[in-house]
Amino acid sequence: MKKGILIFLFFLICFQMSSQVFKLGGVTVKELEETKHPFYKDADAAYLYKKGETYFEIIGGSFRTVTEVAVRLKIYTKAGYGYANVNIPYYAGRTSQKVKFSDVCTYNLVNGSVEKTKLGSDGKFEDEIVDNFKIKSIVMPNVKEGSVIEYRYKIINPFMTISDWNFQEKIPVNNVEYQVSIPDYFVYHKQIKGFVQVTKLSKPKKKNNSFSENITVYYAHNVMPFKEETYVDNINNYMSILEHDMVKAQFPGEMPHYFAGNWQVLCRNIYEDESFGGELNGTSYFKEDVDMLLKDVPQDKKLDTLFSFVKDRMTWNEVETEFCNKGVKKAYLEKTGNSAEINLMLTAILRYAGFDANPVLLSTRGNGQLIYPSPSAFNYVVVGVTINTEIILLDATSKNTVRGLLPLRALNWIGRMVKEKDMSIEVDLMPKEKSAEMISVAAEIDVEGRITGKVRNQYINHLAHLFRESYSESYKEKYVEELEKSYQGIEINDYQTLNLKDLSKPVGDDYSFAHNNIMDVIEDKLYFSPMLYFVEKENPFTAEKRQYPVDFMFPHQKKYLFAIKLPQGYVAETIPASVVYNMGENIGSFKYQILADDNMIRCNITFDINYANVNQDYYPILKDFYFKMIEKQNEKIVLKKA
Amino acid sequence: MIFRILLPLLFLFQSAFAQESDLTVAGIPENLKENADAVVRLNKIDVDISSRKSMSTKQTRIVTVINENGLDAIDAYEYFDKSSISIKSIEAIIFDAKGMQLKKIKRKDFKDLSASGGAMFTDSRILKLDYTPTQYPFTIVFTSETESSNTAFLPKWLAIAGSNTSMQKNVIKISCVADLGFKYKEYNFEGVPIQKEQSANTVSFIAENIPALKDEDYSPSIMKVTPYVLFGLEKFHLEGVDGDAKDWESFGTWYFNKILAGTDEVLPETVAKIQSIVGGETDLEKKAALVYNYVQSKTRYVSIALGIGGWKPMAAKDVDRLGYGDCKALSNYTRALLKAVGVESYYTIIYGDRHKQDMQEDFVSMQGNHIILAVPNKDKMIWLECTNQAIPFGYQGSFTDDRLALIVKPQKSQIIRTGIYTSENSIQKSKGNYNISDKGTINGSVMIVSTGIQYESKYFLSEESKENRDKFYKSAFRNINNLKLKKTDLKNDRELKEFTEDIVFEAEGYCNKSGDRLIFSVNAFNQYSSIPQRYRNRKNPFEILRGFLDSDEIAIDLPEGYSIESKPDDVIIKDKFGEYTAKYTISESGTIVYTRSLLVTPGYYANNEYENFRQFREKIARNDNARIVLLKK
Repeated sequence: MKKGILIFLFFLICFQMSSQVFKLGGVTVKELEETKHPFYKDADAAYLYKKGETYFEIIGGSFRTVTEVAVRLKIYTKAGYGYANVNIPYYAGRTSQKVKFSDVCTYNLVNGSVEKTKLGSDGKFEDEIVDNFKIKSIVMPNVKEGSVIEYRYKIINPFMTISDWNFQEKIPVNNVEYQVSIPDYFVYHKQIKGFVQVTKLSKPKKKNNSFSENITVYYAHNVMPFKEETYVDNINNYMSILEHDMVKAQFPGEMPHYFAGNWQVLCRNIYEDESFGGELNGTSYFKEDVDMLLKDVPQDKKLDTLFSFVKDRMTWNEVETEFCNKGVKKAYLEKTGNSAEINLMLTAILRYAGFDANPVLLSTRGNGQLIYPSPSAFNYVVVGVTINTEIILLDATSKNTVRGLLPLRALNWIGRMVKEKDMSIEVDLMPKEKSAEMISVAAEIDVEGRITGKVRNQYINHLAHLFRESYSESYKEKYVEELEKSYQGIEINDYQTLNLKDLSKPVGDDYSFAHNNIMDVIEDKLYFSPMLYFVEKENPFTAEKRQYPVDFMFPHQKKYLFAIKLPQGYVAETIPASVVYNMGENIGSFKYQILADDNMIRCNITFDINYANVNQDYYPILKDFYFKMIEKQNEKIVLKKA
Repeated sequence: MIFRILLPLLFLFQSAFAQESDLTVAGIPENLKENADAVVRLNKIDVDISSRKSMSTKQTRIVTVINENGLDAIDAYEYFDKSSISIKSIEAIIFDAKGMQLKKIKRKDFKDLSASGGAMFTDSRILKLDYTPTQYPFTIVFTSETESSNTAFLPKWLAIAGSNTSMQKNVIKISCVADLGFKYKEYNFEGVPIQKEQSANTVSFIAENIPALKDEDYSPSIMKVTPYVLFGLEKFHLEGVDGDAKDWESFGTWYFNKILAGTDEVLPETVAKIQSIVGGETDLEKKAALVYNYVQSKTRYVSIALGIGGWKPMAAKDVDRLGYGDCKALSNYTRALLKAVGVESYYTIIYGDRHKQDMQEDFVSMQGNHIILAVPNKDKMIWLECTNQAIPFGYQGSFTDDRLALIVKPQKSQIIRTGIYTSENSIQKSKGNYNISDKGTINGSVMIVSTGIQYESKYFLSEESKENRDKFYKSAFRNINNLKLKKTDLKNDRELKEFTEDIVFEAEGYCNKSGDRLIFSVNAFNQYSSIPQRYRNRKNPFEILRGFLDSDEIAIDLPEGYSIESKPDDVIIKDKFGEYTAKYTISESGTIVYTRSLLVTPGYYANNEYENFRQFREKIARNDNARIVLLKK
């Protein structure tokens, strides 16, 4: 590669940049005068323009990508001042990225004319947050309500990855444009997520001495800010982001190299990585222990024995990845490791014992939904054991999992089981069985309106797992205090758990209580809900509209049994009617049955959500259902003197 | 050959620990196991000050972590920076319950992190232990050695460990060369057995066998109740500057001359500008307010602590140019502008915290964590918080109220108490009405005016995004489900320091139904509903830091076709903790007028009063939730 060409290329690119319509420095009086955002009046700030470009360079014989971004941003309120501090995190390891800010200015309107303040070097900062990761920051000068700020930054990336591009932000984006120029040698898969209308334009191919480029421009206007909502699996699944994943590289006269592009290729690439496939082969480090352990264990107990062995021995270091770091051998010795070390070790041990065990690659909920087979698609691995065509999923990173139950982080639709180098199949990760919580209450009311009684809870499947994960014996006292705090007016005694450690049985807890804040004693009548202090007060779905699917994580059932003994000399004057509310499409239901006789009230309530995830189209139904259900839960029994 | 020499040495090192302390869990005395998530077996700090510019600190900290809640007690980290503090050695060894070694963590395996946590700009860094426990209980032996050329901050010695952590042995020993004016002072030592040994150049304190204490709500700040010792030097060194802490006057003079000197210069244009803003105004308070408002409109808070910038404010002319700075920079900038218009003000060192913490008047040393400004006005001080763009001129709030602070002057620096908010001056007045429909929907409107310390929990709303405002009201009216705000007009009167909210809302399903009855809480707008946690055996005294007074007057219209079946009785509750009244008057037109007042008085009380306090609050909560029952005619 000749230097001249590079310089030529550089000028070409500069020329290209400057020939666009939006230019830094052209801040208008009108923009500065604006006091409220035109189509989103509550905006604290807005991107007036956000323009980016990514292109390739050849330096020292190898390609690198350069991304340049220019921003013009309006600040409306003091709450928007945060946007005047710009932070760009970057990788600063051995082959370091480089970040450079330029053209940083703040514009204000002073007596009708534009005042410009440039940022000096004392407004630029750099900080190493953790090893190999730094942040470059600028703190904009002279910022006031109404200011417009502008800045440009350039990220030079020694790798050929193209970073995600956000069309949508937490504030409105009036104009956003992004241009990507990719040399002919490379093929990238491009994908735009989210709900924003993005226009895509292919420009004519550009040719120069070293390579020709395919140029694509994306733009969008008047992009509304994205909204946080409750019950969302991962907001990044719904934000408008453009992703690029390299599929293929082929240089003239060479064989093509495939990076991904389809699941088989991706799985093969991962399998061939020494820190994945290579870690499945050794047996020497556990052989002796496993031989000892399996002595006299019948065949049908072997799987659980080995699974428990790995779970008990290993502690997860909370790192989610599909690749080993220190390796299974060292992890085994140190008894701690990441998700790959623990689960690949489990795979190897199960294989050693004769099981058909294979790693199952997946993307955690935090990593987002699996959509396209890009090298970064997976970030986690569990184990799939095939017994008579049935696949049983195991994850030994949590001490409280049982066979077939994955921790919440792994419940993300589908994974891929890697059987051997060129053989991988899709696996359904979602739970087949409903999770459940059963609450039985036997209570007694005295004439002053005090309620005493006993409560017993039982949890099944994921609800059992969640209970075990959040509770430990050392936490008992605190846990009881928290319960007392959340049900104000209650006094809890004799709290105990059942089967906390015995994972083969449903976990539960029971306690006795005295509550003096449930009953309304008004003149000679007593008013209370038969659900006592278990009534839900707040509808979690308050927004008028819903943009994203409602995520319940797993289908579940809540079942309550109340048996309430009335005080001597009182009878029920009014009891709520029994009802059944069904949501359409079998999404869920609420069954409320109540019976009263001379001195007892019995109330059975069952609440079901039948899906892990409900499409936003059903939101009005869901919202209405919750409203009616909560209203019913709060309905009161009236007792009067007999 | 090398191995032969090294091995016995290593062995020696380990057996030295074994001699000094029993690392087995079985060796923990029974009384230290109760309530303990962790046991500090030994916390040993040796400080040696060999000159004004040289301090070395050795620490050995042995902690048995009983369960995962006790991990915070490990405290295995050290700060360092480029200019003054270096870590000579740092290491941790992990042992199992029987005292067998599990793992050794060397310096290179400690995490090197920025001390900023990403929230500010600083060049201070931390080396921190990175260890995933594989079993409980385990014991960690942490040793470190640091050297510092700063002698302005000597360690503070707290005799006891944090909550749910017991202390087996806690030793500090400080040696100092003779002529630096080494001093120390004990606080809250009554009734706690602490040994003290003193010789010519050395002092040491030893505390042993202190059982774990549980966290309890409403506990006073630990500086009021737990035993601790402050250490200091009269002649110290800080980032290249020698300092003097003989008395507050000389300390203040030093601070003024060495730390503040030269930082309050501004450009002539700036002087001209601020003078033109102030114009012909002659009243001192009004002049100061004009300058303060100008600073608020021009600047914003950004946390920057680089180099001596950790102590020295950024130059006023830089703040002027950039429009931002931290508490030091912004207070000092305000001081410079006030000076330009002939108003004197003092840089003031204080502890900024919701819990009131005094500067220790009887111990002259570098203290405090925040800077504000004091403007003398006749015989009073006007206190200015310069890091907040929304707070009115002279409003302090709970971050700096009612505590001792040091005002720094060229001469005659002194400790003074900042302003106090009384209950009677911290008022929230609500006046409004609502109606109930036959479907149980509530439609209401209310005007709420807040002053004094109650102003603080409101004024920021006028600067908040709509989303956060909605969140605020959702939480403020959390007793009303399905709340739909129809109007939230907010008025912030900065002059009077008075915040007015004009709110109109609607909520379906406010009433509970029961056959022909509608049941609802009368007090829809202002329930004081939280009840302090019950403790079976309260150990700590408790404190109500600030008082307030609420008064409410709400008219309630009932739906057609319903009559009142029952209503709550009028109530008066009087106690040393406050006063509560609620009255329900039915007018001829059938409207209910609900009037309520709640006065909470501040105070410091012994542990045995706690249950009474709790019951006082419970009675209020119950009455605030009192219901009316309507019956269909």
